[in-house]
Formats: sequence, structure tokens, C-alpha cells
Amino acid sequence: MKRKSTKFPRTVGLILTTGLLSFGTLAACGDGDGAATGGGCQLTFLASADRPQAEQDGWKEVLAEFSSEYDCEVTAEFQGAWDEITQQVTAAQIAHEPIDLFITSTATRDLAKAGLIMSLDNCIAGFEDRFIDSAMEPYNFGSKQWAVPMSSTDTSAIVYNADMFKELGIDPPTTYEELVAAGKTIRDAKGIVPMLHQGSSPWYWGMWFFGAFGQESGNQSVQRTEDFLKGERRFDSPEEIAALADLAKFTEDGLLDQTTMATDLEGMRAALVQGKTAMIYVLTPELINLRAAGPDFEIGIFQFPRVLSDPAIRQEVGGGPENGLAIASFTEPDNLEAACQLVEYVSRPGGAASILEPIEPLVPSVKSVPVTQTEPLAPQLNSQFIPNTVEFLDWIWPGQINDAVRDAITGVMFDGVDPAEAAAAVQEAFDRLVAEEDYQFDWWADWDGAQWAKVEFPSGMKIEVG
Amino acid sequence: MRQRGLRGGIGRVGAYGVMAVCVVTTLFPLIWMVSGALKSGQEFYSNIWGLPQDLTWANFARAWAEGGLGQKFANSIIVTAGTMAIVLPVTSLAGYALASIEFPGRRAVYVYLLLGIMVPFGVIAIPVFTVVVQLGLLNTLPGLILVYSAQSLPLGVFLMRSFFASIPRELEEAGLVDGCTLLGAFFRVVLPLAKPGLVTQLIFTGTTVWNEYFMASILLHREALQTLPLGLVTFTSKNGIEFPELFAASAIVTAPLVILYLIAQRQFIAGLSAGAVKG
Amino acid sequence: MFTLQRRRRLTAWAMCAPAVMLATGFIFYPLARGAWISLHQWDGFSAAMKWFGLRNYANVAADGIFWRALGNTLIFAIAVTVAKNVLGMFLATLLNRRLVGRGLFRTATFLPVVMSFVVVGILWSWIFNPTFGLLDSGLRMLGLDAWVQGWLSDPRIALGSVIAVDVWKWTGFHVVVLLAGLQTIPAELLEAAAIDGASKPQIFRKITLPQMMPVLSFSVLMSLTGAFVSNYDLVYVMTGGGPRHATEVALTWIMNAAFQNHAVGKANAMSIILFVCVAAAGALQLRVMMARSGGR
Repeated sequence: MKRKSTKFPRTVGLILTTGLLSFGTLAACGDGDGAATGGGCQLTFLASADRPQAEQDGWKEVLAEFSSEYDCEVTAEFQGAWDEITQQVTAAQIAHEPIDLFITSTATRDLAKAGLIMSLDNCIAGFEDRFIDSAMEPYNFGSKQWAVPMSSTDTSAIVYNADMFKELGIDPPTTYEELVAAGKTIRDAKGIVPMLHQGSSPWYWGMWFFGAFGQESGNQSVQRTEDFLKGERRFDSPEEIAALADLAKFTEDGLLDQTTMATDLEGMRAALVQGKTAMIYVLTPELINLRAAGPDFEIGIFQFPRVLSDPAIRQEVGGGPENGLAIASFTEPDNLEAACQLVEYVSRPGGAASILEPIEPLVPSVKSVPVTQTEPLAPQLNSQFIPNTVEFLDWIWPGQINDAVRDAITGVMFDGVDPAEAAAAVQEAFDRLVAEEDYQFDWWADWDGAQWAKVEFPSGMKIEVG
Repeated sequence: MRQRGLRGGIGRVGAYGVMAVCVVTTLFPLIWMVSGALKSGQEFYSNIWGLPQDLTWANFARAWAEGGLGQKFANSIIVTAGTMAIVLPVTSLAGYALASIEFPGRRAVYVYLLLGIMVPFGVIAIPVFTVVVQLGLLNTLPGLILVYSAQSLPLGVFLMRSFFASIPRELEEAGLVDGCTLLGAFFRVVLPLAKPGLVTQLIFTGTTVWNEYFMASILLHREALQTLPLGLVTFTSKNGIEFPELFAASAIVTAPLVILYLIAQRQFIAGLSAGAVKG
Repeated sequence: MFTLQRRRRLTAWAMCAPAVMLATGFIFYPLARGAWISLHQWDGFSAAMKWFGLRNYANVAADGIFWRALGNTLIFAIAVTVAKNVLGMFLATLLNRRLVGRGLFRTATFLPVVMSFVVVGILWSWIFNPTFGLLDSGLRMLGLDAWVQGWLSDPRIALGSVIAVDVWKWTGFHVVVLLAGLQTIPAELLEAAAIDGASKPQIFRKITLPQMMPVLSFSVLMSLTGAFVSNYDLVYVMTGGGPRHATEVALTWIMNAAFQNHAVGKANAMSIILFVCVAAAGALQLRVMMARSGGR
């Protein structure tokens, strides 16, 4: 006993010593990387660390090329998760950290509203036609371009087990009625739930509404949403209610059941791969992950079904680019020209190819980059889905409305809530948001000259277009 | 006697039954994690619960390289050891003073520190960040170490105080009479008796700090300074998780904790049976 | 005598000073700052905060989901505190006997404690998964089809499932702490009581429990406050607060308000309310336990 009791303080002593030593020696390490080495300038580029290794390597490669070509050292930092970028950038601003460019994601509107990013129109004037329009649009609001898309663009599709469909003699459905019939055949023949959704992640419920409302609004869903957020339209209007009523039918008709509420992205994928469901409604990057999971059957895609019979109405769904490249507004004024030059450089055919091709883009946001050859469904996505893709509505509406719409959707689907009541609850959430947070959709309308001066990219800079 | 023996026998069987159930339910995740780390990306989805068909050891190497775990390992060790180096002495001193010395403001100090247990740290992250920036400690490991130390401190003080309070006063007084100063008595007589408290802290705070993600993500913006939990993010993304690599990385991250526990628990339990009062 | 007294005081103050300074700098000053923020309307990144008085508190009071989340937190806290400590005490008593293989058992029960929340969360949400989950298929295999549940999808059950996982994750820790306490009870005391003819329950109540009070109050306080201030990760990974807010706890809702919805002023108002609730619960618990342990 004695022997053991003397042993312990030694362990503690060791830890204490290492701890104190490290504490002492490391106290100065924070400002170690402050010194400039490049002859010309120095830029810092920030992106989340959760992107594929190949993509990170692509960025590093192109940034290194830029460094040597323009005599401007670029430090690339990969840090955190994609949805933390707002925090990271805010933190950098408070701490006066040198961040010049970064990859933004879904929160671009928040960043712009907070005055954290530059409007790029004067920067990109010479090369803005390099990007596809549908990928530029989500970063364009208040008649300004706030970021440029450097990624693949997502859209939404229903992925199905094509072998199972063939075996049961089902054709990929177009209308909702056909979908219900297909679901019934699958349920009867296989005893499985026909469709599954990643219901345990709060963010993905909205896509159901985008699909239904895209049609119910007469393909005006973005416009209607903006009107709603401006306070010029109520969410409990007939079109919104009709869209929620469409969604309620998915559970009534047995396409989805409550198991969906406890399913996450990977669980949904596993269920499809194992033949425990036949259809999943997903964002298209899922195709890549699904292939990697190695299903032993063919997969196919079809569009969110027609809920209206009018053939003039397109089957619109939500989409948007994965990454946008933005310039921080708190960057050193002297760095602006180099930062913009970097935006130009990475979107040249050579740069864009190095960054985008490793991720096998289904829908490249830069025109010069070819669509991936490895995914056989990519051509169908580009020809059939992309023309019917509008901006994700949840990029337009604030988080509180996203929460409310999710509650409305799950309410009508699983809790027997009346669609009109559910829609009214969203309207209430909006009213609350205005009252509590002074929410204003078109904040840009009230900005004064001083505010714009801080974020507007100066004109007349010499940007070389290669 | 016979009846007692029979009951004891049944109790023994029951005890082993309970133990077996516990061991199975707690070992299973570890086995699942390691076996998941050895599956290919495909097999993970087709064979969720089974053992791996082919052992893909390469997952570990890939996880190590892609996550940059070598550097992060060093950083995590520094941060954890640094935190312990602050927390253990600071809580011991405060705990002892609060338990054994009469002084004005004693109760106020105790209540004040205790209130710290009840603060949800995630929510005060923004002000904490501001403090760290003002101290010029953003993007430094000492900054993170100070935050971790402060946040694990209230619980530690509470724990140490209750240990010191349970130590018979006569022992300390004997130390004082022997000519020790107050601090001398503290170090020679009292502290060794509070070992279980120290080990409890070592295990609990060590585990918490080792696995902490949120504060680290806010306070460290340099890849070279990141800790292990930040490295795990590499294997998740908006579009899904790279399971085998994530599990391999998690196994790598968890292993030192298991080893630390295996070392600490022997001394923990052994030190305990050496008991205060007997000594 | 006077100087000795004075030196004792100074020493005591000096001993407490580092703890007080650290706690002030990194806990209470930020908390006070949070309280200050809670009186403003702020999105977390704009330079200016707008004075809002107590309106954030009024808004929180009107937020039904917050109160539901607080209710869930309370259920969560009581359930895990009782379960972890009763189960922990039971297993610790078991381990305090001379049993073959108790070393393995002790180590095994502790493993969940050191595993990261991500792995634990994924593991359990897959065990509970309705389509390919281990739990449901196990029940079906045993012919207990009627027991098959939407463990995480049924709003009536989901909170219970999450609580069970939290208990599973932390019980090992409490076992170790409580076992440590049990082993510090002097054997002489127990033997003397046994010789005096006390029954086992009597010994437990009269000797074991009072002797265990410091350790037990630590264990209870930890599980209780932990349920209030640190159950975010597990709930977030397992359910994200769903289905339909059935597992929403105060922390998930607050973090959502602060970091997704950028209602930082309101989020701080919620955390101040939460802090007051925890402080009240903690004070009550300490009062009860200290009264029982003879006012220590």
C-alpha cells in the first residue's frame, strides 16, 4: 500500500512539470507567424477543414502558383466546419486577424448584412461571365454580387433504386399520383417504407417545401418568398397553405412514415443501400456519397413530382453552389487589389480546373470546367434539373423562419396539424422576428454612403484578366 | 449459516450477471468503433453491425495523415497537461483553505466559486472570446489552457473541499504541532490524503479537455495550433461523414484516454484503500 | 496569537486567490458581460448593440419552445441524476465486493466516459434506427415485436431514449467516484456496527450513507448541473432537438438562437434564465445534502 501511495505524486509531478514547462515555452508562440516574407504582399485565405482532401490540395496548389506568379504570399488556413465560417470570420474581425479571402457557405446574406464582406461588382467586372448564372444568383442580392461560386452546384433530386423499380415494373414517376402508385407497389411487394428523408437533421426539411411551393407559387417561389420577408405577403396565403397540404399527403398516402424523423443522412443512405427503402429525396452531392457506399443495384434520379396538372408549370426545386469565394471587408486596403487578382486567378480555366476537377463536380460553377465523367447521371442533372433549379429558399429566409417552416412541415406530415394553421404559425414566427429582432429583409435599401463605402470594392483597380 | 451461504451464492450469480451485461453494453461501442475503423467505406454501409471482412488498416494511416493528427496530438497533450498543471494545485489550495481555515469571506468565496459550476459555457463563449482577445491570448495554447482551467475549476474546488473537510482535524493539527507551517502541514499531511480527489479531477477534467471542441474552435485559428477534436472535423462535411476514417481517428484520439485511465485507476483505487483514517 | 490569526487569514486568502481570479476572468466576467448583452438587441457581429431593456426577457417569456425546452431539461436533469447515482451506487457496492474480474468490469464501465460524443451519438442513433437498428432487430429476434418502438422518432419516447444514452455514457464515472467513496469508509466502523447486530440496511443508512455524503453530494451535483449545462453535444448529435422539439433542451435551443439565428441578445437572456434555474436547483440540492451530512 505504501509503495503505491508514493507512486502517485510522481505521476502528478511529471504532469505538473511538463505542463508548466510547456506553458512557459509556449506563451510566446501566438505571434510567431506575423512576419511578412513575400516581397510584394501577403494574403490569408480561410476555408473550413471539412472539405475533401483533394479539394484542399487543389486550393493549396493554385494558391501556391498565384504566390509565385504575383509575388504575393498566400497563407491558407483550413479550420472548423462549414457552418462555423460566420463565427470564424466574426472572430477574426474582432481580433484584428488578417483574413483577406474566405470560402462562404449558406450564411452569405448574414455576412453581407453585418458588413463583413465586400461587394465584388467592381472587382469581377472583367471576368464575371466565367461563372454559370444559376450559381452566381444566390450570392447576388440588393443588386450586388457578394461572392463568386467556386464549386459544384447542388440541386435536389429523388434518388431511387432502379433495379427494384424494374423488378416491380415501375417507371420513374412524374406526377404525384404516379409516385403514390409506385409507393403502394413497393410497400405491398417488399414491405418497406417507400421513401426516407434525413428528418433528424433540422436543415433539410425545407427542401420538401421548396419542391411543393415551387409549383404552387406558379414558379414564383423566390419572388413570393422575398415578398413575404418584406412584409408584403402573408405566409398563410393560399399558395403556401396548398404547398403544405401537398406535403401532408406524402404521409397520408404512405410514402413516408415516422421513421424518417429519426433518420440522419448516413442512416438514410444505409437504408437505401441495404434495400430497406426505395427512394430518398436528397441534395445531389449525395450521389457521390451513395456511389462510394457501393450499392449493389443501379440508381436513378427523378424530379420532385408534379403536384399540379398544369403542364406550363415547371417542377422547380431548390439549389445553390457549395462554396462562394468572398473578400473580407476588414482586409487591409492595400491588399484589395491582390485579393481581387486572386479571385480572378483561381477562376481562370487552369486554376478552376485544379480546384474543381478533383471534387468531380456534377454541376461545375465555372464554365470552363467540364462536368464529371465518373457520374453517369451528371448529364441528366445538368440538362433536366439545373434549368428547374432556383435558389434554396432557406438561404433567403432567416434561421427563425427555417425553424418555423420545419415545424410546419413536420406538423402537417406527422402531427395532423392543419396546413392553414401550420402556415399561420410561420407567419406568426415572422411577425415575432420583426418585433423582437427588428428583422429587415432589404437592409441594403437603408444603408448610407458611409456603410457602402466600407464594403464596396473600389473601381479602377488594375486586375489582370488571364 | 446455510441459508446465508445460499443467498450469498445467488447474490454472487446475480452480481456476475449484472457485471456481464454492463461489460457487454460498454465494450460494444469500443469494438464497433475499432471494427468500423477497419472497414472499407463500402462495407460500412452494407455490413453495419458485423466485424470487418477485410481489415483496411490503411484507414488509420489515412486518418493520421489527412487529419494532421501528429501535430494535433502534441497540441492536445500540451493543452491537457497545461490545464491539469493549473487546475490541480489551484483547486487543492482553494479547497483546503475553504475546508480547514476560518477566515472572513470564506462562505462568500465558496458560494462564488460554486456558482461557476452552473454556468453554461457554450453560451458565454462570445464574451470569453473577447476576454482572450483582450489578453492577447487568441491563437495561443496558453489562452485555451487558461479558459479550460477556469471552466474546470469550480467543480474541482467543490470536490477538493469535500475531501479536505472529511479529513480529521487532528491529523492536520498534529502536523502543525510538529512544527510545520500551515502550508507545510498542507503539503506534507493533508494533500496526500486527498489523492482520490486529484485523480478524479485528473480523469474527469482530462477527459473533458481532451475531447473539447467548441472553445478550441473559437480560440485557435491556426492549423499548427489545433487540438485533436478539431482534427476530427476533417472527416465530416455538409454532405456526409467519411466513417472509416472518422472512426479510425476517433480510435486514435480515444486510445490515450483509455491508457490514462488504466494507469490512473490502479493508483486511484489502491491509494484509496490505504485510507485516511487508518494511516 | 493575533499575528498567527492574521497570518492564517492571509494564507487562506492567498490560497483562494488564484481560483477566484481565474473564475472571475473567464467565468463571471463573461457571464456578467452576457447579462449585459441580454439587455440588448444584437446579432453577434454588428459593431453596435441596440439597448433593449428587459424586452429580450419578455420575448423569451413568450417563447413556448424555450419553456418546453426548459421543461425537458428539468426532466432530463432529474432522470439522469437519479439514474446515474442509484445505478452508480448499486454497481459501486457490487464492485466493492471481492469478485473475480471486477478490474475488467471497472474498466469497461468507464469506457463510454472517454469516448467522444460524435461516435457515441452516431452509434446510438444507429442502434435506435428504425430501419436497420440493432435494438429493434434484437427485439424482433427475441419475439418481442410489441416492444419495437420509434425510439428516437416517437415524440413521446425520444427524450427517454436520449436520457438512457446519457446515463449509459456517464454511469461509469459515477461508479468510480462512488467506489472511491465506499473504499474510504473505515472497515472498523462497519465491523463494529455488524458486531452490534445492525442489519445490512441499517448499516447502509446509518454508516455508509453519512460517510459517503461528500462523495455522493459531489456525484449528485455533477450529474445535476451537467444535465443543465453540458448535455448539448449528445442531444445535438443524436436528435438535433427533434422530433418536433421533443428532445429540445435549453442548451440546444439557446445555441440555435445564438449561432444559427443570430439572436444573441435573446440567447443571452435565455442563458441567464437557465443559470438562475441551475443555481436554484444546485443550492437546493446542496442545502438538502448538507443538512443530511450534519451541516458540513
